[in-house]
Amino acid sequence: MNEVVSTYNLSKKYGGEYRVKDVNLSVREGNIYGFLGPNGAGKTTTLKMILGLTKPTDGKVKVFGKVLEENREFILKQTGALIESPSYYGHLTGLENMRVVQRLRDLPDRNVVEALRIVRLEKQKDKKVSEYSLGMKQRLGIAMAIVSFPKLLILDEPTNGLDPAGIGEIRELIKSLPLQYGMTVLISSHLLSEIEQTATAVGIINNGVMIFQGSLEDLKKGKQPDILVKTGNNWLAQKLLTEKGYSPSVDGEFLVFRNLTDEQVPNVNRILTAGNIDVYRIEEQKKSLESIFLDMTGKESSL
Amino acid sequence: MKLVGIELYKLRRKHLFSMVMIFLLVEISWAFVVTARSVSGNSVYAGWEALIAMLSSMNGLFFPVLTAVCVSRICDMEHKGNTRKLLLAMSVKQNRLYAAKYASAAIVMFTAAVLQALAAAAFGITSAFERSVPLFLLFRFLTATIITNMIVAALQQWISMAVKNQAFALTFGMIGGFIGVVADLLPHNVRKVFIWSYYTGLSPVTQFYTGNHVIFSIRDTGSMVPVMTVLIIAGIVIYFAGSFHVSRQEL
Amino acid sequence: MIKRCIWAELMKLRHSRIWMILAVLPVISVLIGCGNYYMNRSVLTKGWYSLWSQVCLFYGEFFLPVLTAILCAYMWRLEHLNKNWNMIMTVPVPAAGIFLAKLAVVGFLLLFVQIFLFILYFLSGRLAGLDPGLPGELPGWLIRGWLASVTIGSFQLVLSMRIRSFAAPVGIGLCAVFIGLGMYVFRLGLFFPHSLLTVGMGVLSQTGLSPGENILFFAMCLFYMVADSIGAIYLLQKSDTMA
Repeated sequence: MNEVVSTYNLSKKYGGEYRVKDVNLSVREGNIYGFLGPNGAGKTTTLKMILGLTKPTDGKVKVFGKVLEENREFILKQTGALIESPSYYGHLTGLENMRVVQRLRDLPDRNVVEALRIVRLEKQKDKKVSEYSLGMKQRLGIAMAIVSFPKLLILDEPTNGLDPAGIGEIRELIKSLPLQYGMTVLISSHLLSEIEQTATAVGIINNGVMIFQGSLEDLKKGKQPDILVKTGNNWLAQKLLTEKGYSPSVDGEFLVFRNLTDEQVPNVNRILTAGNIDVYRIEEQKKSLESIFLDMTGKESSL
Repeated sequence: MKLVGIELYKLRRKHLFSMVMIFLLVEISWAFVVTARSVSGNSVYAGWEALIAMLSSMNGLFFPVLTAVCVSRICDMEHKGNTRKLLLAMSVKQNRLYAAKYASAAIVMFTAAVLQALAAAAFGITSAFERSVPLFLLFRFLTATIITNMIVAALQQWISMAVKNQAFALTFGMIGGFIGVVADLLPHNVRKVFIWSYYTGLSPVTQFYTGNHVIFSIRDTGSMVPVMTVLIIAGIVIYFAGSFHVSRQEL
Repeated sequence: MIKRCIWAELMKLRHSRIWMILAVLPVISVLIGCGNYYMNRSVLTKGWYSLWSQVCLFYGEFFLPVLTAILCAYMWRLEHLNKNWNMIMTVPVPAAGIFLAKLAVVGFLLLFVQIFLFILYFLSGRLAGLDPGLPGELPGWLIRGWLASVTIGSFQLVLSMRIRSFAAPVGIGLCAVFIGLGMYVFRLGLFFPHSLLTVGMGVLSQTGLSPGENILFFAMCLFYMVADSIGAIYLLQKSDTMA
């Protein structure tokens, strides 16, 4: 599989500070790459550098195996993007906006029709975009990004402003893109649960530095699931176990054990039953992307 | 009061003052050069009158556009950042906001007019005009400029706030400048309708062309007062009309 | 490629009221110029020439440059809003295409203004009782005026491209008008776009231009347009896109 996007020590300095430093992003063909990070981590800046909107202070960007600086037009021809917020001409209708993009990209009419159909904007295409709701503008932005059915699609928070039904639709759409149209998708999002369901590869950036890159399985592999134990007397149980060298925390009705090995579980059980404490439940809680993410970035995941 | 301070703060990064300064500089230099030429040609002409007359007619062209640009920049901010909704949500009353913007525009234009008058005085002194600085004349000139400006600003603000696309406000200002300069060529009764004619209309000095010569005469102060009063009233009406209309606008 | 860009630019102007603004100016110029001519016919004895000087005095000196500034500010305003910069810079179109397309549209619109002025001038002259015998210099004035205004346009386009405020480039254009006047007075009229307009349209003096001066005129227009375009394209290519 080829690398569709690869960056080498990509850095961007603003003033004296590095907003993005030595980022080595790699997106393989046919993947849906989820680009995650807290607010201000450098996601949009990195995406802008990949599109050539921002010029890097250091490092290189290669798309489709070609250096961005020298092959800008060639690369952009096969790239579609929705970055920051949807761009549009308010005084034109949705269809006219699509026509502007169509003309600039030299595309046939059927692309426009198809793109509008995919995002479900056919009924509103003759309304002025200044009268669109936020969700409609977002969908128009997505339509403008996919209208050329490009090999690489870059979406910056595409589900912004969409209702749950809309989010679900976009999720299904994105999942179908590699299979149906052969697209590679690079998507940045805050909705970790969505990324979890959509992405095949993940990159996490924090404070301008990549802290993880790989498949979703790899990310979850390293993290052991938590073991939750519900007893008749949690307080006493916790005391007992702490004396024996375990360190459970309390979460509602459960005692939570992090990073417990398989061998340790029956030990815990024995200690409790020996202490005459009833054990009601022993459960496994797989680490969600959200908790892994929070662990890694140590911040509140932003909305 | 606080709102006015905020308005001026918003202007900080916009280099509005420097822009106004540069304009004034260019306009004044031009006026001085022309006046110097005409005065040197014939020493009979009283230098001060010529200078004031020249500045008055240039103001007719220049200040409407300058005012339009200033007011446009002050009002544009709200349109661009969609901050009107924000301000209203913070319970800033529409008419208070309107007043604050008008006050800041007025302050800027007032400063410009004062600077112009000062520069004129300085120029006259350094060019060794016959008389010493005719303070009263300059004061009347200043008043004329300021009053006319205030009304033009009220009009411009109405348009800049009501219509998002500033192209219309600026075009209107441009047409105003046009009228300002051409008004003197129009018959008396027609002239009075147009606000922009009052840059020269209220000026203390008038010019007559007889053959190849220009004669300057100073207008009687008394006859100006009723006109000024009417203008001020008209200005107040325009201001409130604009404020009312804009606050009624749906956001 | 450039055809596509121009088409896109024209599309963006749909539903806009820029036509009104462009038409208003010649109308007012001619109205007042003609009115003034009519009332002072005893003094202004040179027929079509006098009418031209009255009509064009303020048109060529002041209002066409300011109108051009407003037009160029409008052309870029659309991109400054709604983060449209992101969109135009991520389509497979070279930076040159973007700028030159806008310049072409500005040129086309200014041509419309110039032609409209001519029509009004002709009609008003006939209405004022002038015999149909248009001055021979007229085509020269119109063409040179148009070229000079497009030259001013290229300058204003660069300003509006970099300055997000609508009014500021217009203000700067206003300053340039006065500088142009100064250049004209000091006989350097052929070296600055705004004074090129004054000279080219025969606003203040109606003696024609010698062939040598004509060549210099066209060369200066070309020079400014090329310099502005190269500068703009370079800036587009090298700087970060601020949506």
